[in-house]
Parts: sequence; structure tokens; C-alpha cells
Amino acid sequence: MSLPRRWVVAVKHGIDVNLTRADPTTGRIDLARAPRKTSDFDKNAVEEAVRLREKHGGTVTVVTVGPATAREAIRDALAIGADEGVLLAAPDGPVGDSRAVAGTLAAYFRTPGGAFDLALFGEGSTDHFSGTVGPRVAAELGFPSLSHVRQLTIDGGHLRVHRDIDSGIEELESGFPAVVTVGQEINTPRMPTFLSTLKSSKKEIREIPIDSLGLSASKWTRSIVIQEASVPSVPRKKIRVSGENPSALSHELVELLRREGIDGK
Amino acid sequence: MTERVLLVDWVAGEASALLPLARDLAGPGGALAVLSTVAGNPWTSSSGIDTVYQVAAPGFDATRADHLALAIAEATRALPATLVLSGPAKVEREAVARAGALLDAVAITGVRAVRVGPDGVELSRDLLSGNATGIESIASRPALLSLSIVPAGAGPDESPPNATQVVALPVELPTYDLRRISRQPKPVAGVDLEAADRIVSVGRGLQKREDLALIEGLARALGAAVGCTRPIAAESGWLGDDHWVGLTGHRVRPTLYVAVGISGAAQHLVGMRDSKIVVAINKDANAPIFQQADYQVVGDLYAILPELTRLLTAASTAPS
Repeated sequence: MSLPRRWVVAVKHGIDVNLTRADPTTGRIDLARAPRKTSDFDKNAVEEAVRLREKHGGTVTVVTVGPATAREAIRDALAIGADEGVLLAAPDGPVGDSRAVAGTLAAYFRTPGGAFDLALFGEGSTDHFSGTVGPRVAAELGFPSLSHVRQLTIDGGHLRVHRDIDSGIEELESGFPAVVTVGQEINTPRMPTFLSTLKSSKKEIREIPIDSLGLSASKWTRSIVIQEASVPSVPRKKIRVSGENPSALSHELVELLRREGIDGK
Repeated sequence: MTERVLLVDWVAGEASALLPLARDLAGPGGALAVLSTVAGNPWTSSSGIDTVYQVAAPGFDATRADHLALAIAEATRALPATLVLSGPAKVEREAVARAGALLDAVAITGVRAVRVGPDGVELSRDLLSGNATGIESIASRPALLSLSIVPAGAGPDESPPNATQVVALPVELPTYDLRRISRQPKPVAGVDLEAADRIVSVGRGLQKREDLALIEGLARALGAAVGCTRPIAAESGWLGDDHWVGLTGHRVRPTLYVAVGISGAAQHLVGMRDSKIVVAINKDANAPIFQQADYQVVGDLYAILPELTRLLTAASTAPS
């Protein structure tokens, strides 16, 4: 068995949570116009792939699905150290849902140029956090998926991971090709330097129109319709506890909690 | 519109907790089935369930997401189901995603609520790392849903017993190379934050590890569990992952949540938003956590916590 050399990272140009504001009167958020940036955990996936290349050689390809503006996510990954980028160019208009994006990625990975040994995904996107795209791609291709990976090593042509399963940590071993999703615990992505950014601007981004991938039109049609996004309003009393000093503040808080039926134990 | 609902019984009792919701969604004239992956079969002639699918495949391992996904896909085809409901575990979420791909169907995780609205099935889920709630409708069937919260315990079963059909479900297992080497419980277990009625949580306002004693003291005085934000667990490692409240940590819903030295990043708020009463203690009067608090204490935790702990302890030990 040949050693794995083709590392692929799928990234998302998602909504920038920290720059998104709701309409102050309605509490509604206009998702279509929200500012976008590279999804946080995807950078952990890029960092992990770059470390694999540094140790085992090969090429890191970063791929995304979206309109031309999604190139920004590829540029970010190239600045971290990925070697080349692929934009699966979608038409303008509503972005695909997780089914559409996973189907598009899987179709690309089936093409001769898209084959990989290991594909890495963030374990969820900062905006939707469904965590479904990586496992979906794996299932479409008939590959194993290893999700929520916290530690990853390659040994003798095998992949070994530690993954989080709520109640504990599982150690799994798998052959290639395989798909992993990683969380932020796995590493700290390096900060691109001025030089790495400059160098990355010369790296190639190939553009492949998604309708050249042989997808049916129904694949790109959204099946999940977001009717409304709004800031959740949990009614809170927002009572500023009064008191001149720590002692007075504490007395007042204890009294307020007592009225709520909460005492010391 | 009626739905044909398949419940995934992955951990014992999960499906019975989801049963009332499933019945609502199925409506009169719908269908209700359970995919049973747990040992034994508690579903015979009960609960208005029409069909129980029992996986019949040597080597089937329900703790493997790929195996579970194949079973979900087979049962969905067999019923045939329009809606699949499963719980929130990571293995279930991964299985629902894989099954979605096998069926070319939508798979949605982190679903907080599902209801039948005027336009069919509507669901709400967190968006933007918990900054927003989205109302989504599903335009195609089948749709596979992983709920983020399973209602605690099942209500009394009031439906008349009916003849439940038990169907053996053959599943063809994958042949690729994937093995479990080991499985270990998480270290420093012993905290069950999801079950805690009171939680005292700490964030970056704490300056050093030794100062955790202050937090633990207040928690003891209140009979509370200790929680924390991501920096305290994942970055500094002062507390284990089992204490971590947030988007990728635990989602908690205690009666009392005391946030100490926590600024209130969106990824933390999503984990504690369902708390009944929230107290925030922070020296920055503009900290976002105060917008999510019932009682806002602006002050230095190092000055307030000793006093607060003393008062609460004195109150509980004083003769009444």
C-alpha cells in the first residue's frame, strides 16, 4: 500500500458571527447580507493537514463550494500553508444547504483530479454547526468517517485517531481513504505572517463550475428553508444588584436569591 | 399532512422520551415506528407503535456511526419514513448525517424544537454559534433530525396497547478497514452538568489556577456543580472538559446559573441560555453576560466571592 500523500481540506466561507447584527427593532437577522469569513474550526483542519504534509510529504489542497467571494476562505487556508486551492464555483443566489454542499464536494472528489487519501473538515461551521457535511461526503463515497478528532497520527499506512464521543475518548484505526472532522482542541492554527500571505497570493486557485460535475439540478436546490433567523429572546430580569461595597452587594444578592427560593445548602 | 415517523432508540429510554413528540408529528393517520438498537425489546404491544425494526446483522455495532447510519437508512426505506427522530449524541449526529447521504435526504442536527406548522414541519435550531435562533422548514422528505435536547423522562403512556409488528431488519455492513482500538471514559469524570440543578461557572476573570478554590467554595455553599468557559477548560486546562459549558461543551439548564468572571462570548451563552435564573458577577459593567442575566453584580469577584460564600454558608448553618 502506498503511503498517503494527498491531503484535502474542505473549508466554508461562512457567516461572521461576531460582525453580524440583528435589526434592533425586530431582532431579525438578514443572513443573505451578513458579512462572511472562514469558519473557525476549518482553520484547525487546515493546520492539521499542513502538519501532516510537513511530516509525511505530499500536497495540501483546499476546496470550497460557493460564489467567487468564497475565494477568501481559500486564500486564508493558503496563507496558513495549504499548497493549492479549488473553488467549486456555484451560481449566484441562495447558497446550497448541507446536502447540496456535501453532494457537490463528493462529486468533485470522484473526478480524477479530486481523489484524496485523507480529507479533513472542521467538526462544524461557526454559523450553522450542523457537523453533517464531512460524514455525508464520507458516506457518499463509501469511506469511513472519523468525527470529532482530538489527536491524529499516521503510522505504517494507517490512520490512528483519538475522538470525542461524549462519554469518553475512543481510539480508532482506519485505512485510507478516510474522512476526519476536527475540533479546536486538536491544535492551534498558526497565524499567517506577512511573508506567508505574500507567498500564498501566488498559489493557484483552480475554478470548476459546479454544473460541470454532472450534478442533477435538484441536488443544488435547497431542501432546508430558513424562514427566519432572529436573536433569541430569553426574558431576563436584568436587575442591577445595588450596594456600595462587596459586602453590601453580597447581602443584597443573597436576599434577592432567597426571594427566588434559593438558599445556601 | 400526516407524517410517517421513525424513532431511533439508540440509548435505552431515548425513544420513549421522544414518543409524545413523535405522536404529535405523525398525527392521526400517520405511522409510528421504532428502530431498536438496544438489547431486548421493550416495545412489544405498547405505545401505539405500529412497527419495531430490530437490526438483524451479525457484527452490527450500534456504537459505530456508520453501522447505525446503515440501519437508519434501511428502516427509513422499509417504513417508508418521512421523518426520522434521533437524540443528540455525537454518534447519533454522525449517523444521521451519513444516513442522509445514503438516502439523498436532508439531515439536520441541533434541532431544539419541532412542530407541525401551516407549511408543514417547522423546526427551530441554533444558528451563528448560538447568537441566533433559526426557524427552518423542510421542503423535502424524508428528513432526518437529531434533536439537541431530549425531553427528560416519558409522560404516562395513555395510548391503548396495539399489536406491534416486530420486523427483522437486515443490514449490509461496510467492508472497509475501520477498527476501534480502545474506549476510555473521560478523565476527571464525576460532574454531570446536564443534570445539575445549580451551577457556578467561571471564566477568564479568574487569574490563576489556585483561585479555583474561591469558585469551589461558592459552589459548595450553594450545593452547586462547577462549570467553566472554553478558555478555562481547553486552553488553560484548569478544569476538565466535563466542566465546560458552551457550543462544543455541555448544554445546561439548571435552576440557578452563577456566571463568575465570564464576559459572555456567544459560544458560551448558547450552553447556558436555558438556565432558569442567571446571576452574573463581573467587574466590567459592559460585559455581554449582563444582558443574559437576571441579577447583575458589577464588582471584583475576588472581593465578592468570599463574602457571598460566607453569607450563604452562615445562612444555611444558622439555627432557624
